[in-house]
Amino acid sequence: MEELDIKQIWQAYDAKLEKSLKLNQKIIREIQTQKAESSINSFRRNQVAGVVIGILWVLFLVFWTIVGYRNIYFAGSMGLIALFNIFAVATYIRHLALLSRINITGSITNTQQKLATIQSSLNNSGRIMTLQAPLWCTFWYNQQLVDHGGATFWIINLAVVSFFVILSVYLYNKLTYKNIHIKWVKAFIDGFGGKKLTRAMEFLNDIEEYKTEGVSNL
Amino acid sequence: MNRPEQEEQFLLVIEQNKGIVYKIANSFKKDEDDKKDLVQEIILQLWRSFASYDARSKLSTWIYRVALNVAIASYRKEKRKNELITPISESIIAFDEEESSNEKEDNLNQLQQFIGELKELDRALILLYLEEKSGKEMAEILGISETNIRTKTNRIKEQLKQRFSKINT
Repeated sequence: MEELDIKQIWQAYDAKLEKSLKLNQKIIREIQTQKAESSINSFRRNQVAGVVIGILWVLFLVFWTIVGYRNIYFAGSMGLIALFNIFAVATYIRHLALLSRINITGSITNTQQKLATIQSSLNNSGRIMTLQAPLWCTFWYNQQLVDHGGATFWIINLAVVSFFVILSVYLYNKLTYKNIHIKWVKAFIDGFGGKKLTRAMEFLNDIEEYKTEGVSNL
Repeated sequence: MNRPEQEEQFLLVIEQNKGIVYKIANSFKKDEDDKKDLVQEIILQLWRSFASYDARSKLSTWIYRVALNVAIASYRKEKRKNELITPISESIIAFDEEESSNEKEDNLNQLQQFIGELKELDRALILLYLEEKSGKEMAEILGISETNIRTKTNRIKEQLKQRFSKINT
């Protein structure tokens, strides 16, 4: 089948639609009077819910930091954990602000790139959260333990903390949309953020490839 | 332009371009209710951006950009979740599907099936190609270079030809 034939099939379809498509003006009038709500608004509501939960969690961490201020190890660890969480929530809020500036009339690749970036913002917050892992190994320290822990205690604890430092930095670097083609990265994010998130990340990758394909022919 | 005039003008624009909205919704959604929701979402977004439409750019470019942006964004959603606060039982655009078994109809089904198997951006590209948009307009709508458009269109056309030649042999 030649190109012309394919276009003829489409033109016949067009002609058929032209003849039989009927517009329901009543519903369009309802849309014009704002009786219908956009699904983008429902997406925005989910994002706002995420921010509210994040802020409540940060407040909980700050509360425990203040309550436990006498134990420097506990307060220090909790305070740093709270900081990582504040940073993660701020990242999420920044993307939420970007959503309100999305121009739906913009070119497909640019608009979709912005939308997919926002949809995958949860991943950036998640990556930041991985960095707090070692601090969950130190929050239970106290002065007495540090003074009298002994060599075995320190060897085991330093090994555990070092392991989590290396692991969290490794995860922070690996869990990006550029690595979404790696099976375990996809499975890991699927497990934490769901398929919607990995789909947005894969799409970001697709858009980048799409934009660069053919550039070498210029 | 005052509000009633704007509303009438918009109705006219949609009436003249309802085919575009329907074809895009049909290419991105299989389920009838999903199609209905997508048509509503596209028309809603067109209405919201209608006031800011710049008459210096082509009307069709604006319609394709909004419709394809909404369709692609909705395509990534997992499944229908009653996202519309005002669910509607009626369709904005109704189409009388007539059962037909002639060759043309079979070819159209094959073509639609092929389009349905493409990735989102390729799907947008082939729709624009079939609508006979120029390379320049396609580049403006998609936001990529004309050279890139040519390379991709040729690749998809080749796949399409192979697909049809396999069926016909």
